[in-house]
Amino acid sequence: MNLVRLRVFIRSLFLQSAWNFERMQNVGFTFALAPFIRQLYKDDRRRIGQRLKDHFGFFNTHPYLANLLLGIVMGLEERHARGEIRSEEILRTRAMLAGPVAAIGDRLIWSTWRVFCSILGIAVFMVGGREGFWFSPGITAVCVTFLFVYNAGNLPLRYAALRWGYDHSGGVIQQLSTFELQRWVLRIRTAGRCVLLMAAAVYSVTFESVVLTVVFWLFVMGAFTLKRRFRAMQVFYLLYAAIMLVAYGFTLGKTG
Amino acid sequence: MNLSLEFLGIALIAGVVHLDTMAFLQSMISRPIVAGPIIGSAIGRPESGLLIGCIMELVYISSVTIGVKIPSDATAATVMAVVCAGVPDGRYAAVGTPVAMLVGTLMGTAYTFMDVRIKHANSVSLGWVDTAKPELVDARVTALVQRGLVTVYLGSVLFYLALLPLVQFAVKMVSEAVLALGMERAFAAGVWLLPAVGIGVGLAHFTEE
Repeated sequence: MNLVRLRVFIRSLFLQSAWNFERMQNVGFTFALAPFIRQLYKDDRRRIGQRLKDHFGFFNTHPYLANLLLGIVMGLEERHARGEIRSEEILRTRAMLAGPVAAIGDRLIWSTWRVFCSILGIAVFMVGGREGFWFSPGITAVCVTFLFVYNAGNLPLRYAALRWGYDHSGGVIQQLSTFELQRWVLRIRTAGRCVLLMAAAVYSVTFESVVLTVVFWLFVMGAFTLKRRFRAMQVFYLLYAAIMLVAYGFTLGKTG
Repeated sequence: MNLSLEFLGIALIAGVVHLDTMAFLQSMISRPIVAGPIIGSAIGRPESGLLIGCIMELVYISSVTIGVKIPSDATAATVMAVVCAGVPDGRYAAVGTPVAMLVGTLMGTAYTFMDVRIKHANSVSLGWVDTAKPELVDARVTALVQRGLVTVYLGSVLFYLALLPLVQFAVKMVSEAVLALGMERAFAAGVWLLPAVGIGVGLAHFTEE
């Protein structure tokens, strides 16, 4: 059983390999589930194909937390093989849970944890990465900080989600609500803001001129304000032009 | 000949990095903060790769593919910027980084255009499993996954092979124009102000509900 679960886990890493606009993650989900279905129905290739075809419909959720749904579906497939539930019930449960699980994953992992880890890596760069002797160890430090901190929560979470979903297929959502995810999101976001502000402060005092430091913070405030109305790339292009103009004016003033 | 081999090497490495964006694992080696130093090390300029990677990470800090929302590709933007930053040499070496970053972000949008086509092509292949006999479903699903990986990899490699020479040429032309306008010092100084944009965007991202 553990070997099959490991195979499902490894295959789940390919969840979005054939992502498509029509049914999104359906190919990856069916691919990941296949070893478990094969174990349930042994040599009955017709039955295996039928079960896999049933799972080939629309499916989309957060790619990491999809393992939670894979685990739940594995538990339900076992019950289906024993004749306790119908196929429609499995598909209905899968469809019902995909949305809420995606919402949790998008908020907790994509827009909070990933961004927080980026900020940590950038903070290491801003604090030490610019000095000459820092560069070689600095590159390793920045990459390791980001990759290690991020993936410390990635692969273990994905495996634990698969196992947890399989073991507690019935009451997963109720158990999730006891984790106070929203509170954790707010804590991580507050910590991220503090780290970013501190790194920016350290970075800005290394400028040769006080005027440049003031200009830097004006641009930080400008980007902060503009991001509320425009997309990040629009803010980038707008302020890129502004920064070059200001820097041009500054160098003209210096040479003049 | 050597330049072609260098382009091929960069394209092959960048293709592997692109697999991580969505197709396999998503361990975030495709994020600019890691992809920048990887590509920078491959072409012998790790410091430049780190600098561009970190600034690009800030620029793209709130960008991630969620469902049908596919933003401008941060990996392609970083790879292009890192490779092209070193093109301008001699008198206009200082403007290479900011100009390459600007052109790189445009290439990120171009990559997204190709990526969307690949995902549409994946939709077309679904019928291959829908119409299969049950005995063949397992093998065909596996084949679709393999095909998806190969398509993303080859698509990325071809993207870089086709556009790298053009983008290098564009960066060189823009750099010469900047020099002709006498703005080279402004561009060199402006690089150190660019993180301000990302910091502001990052703070706004973590303040939004």
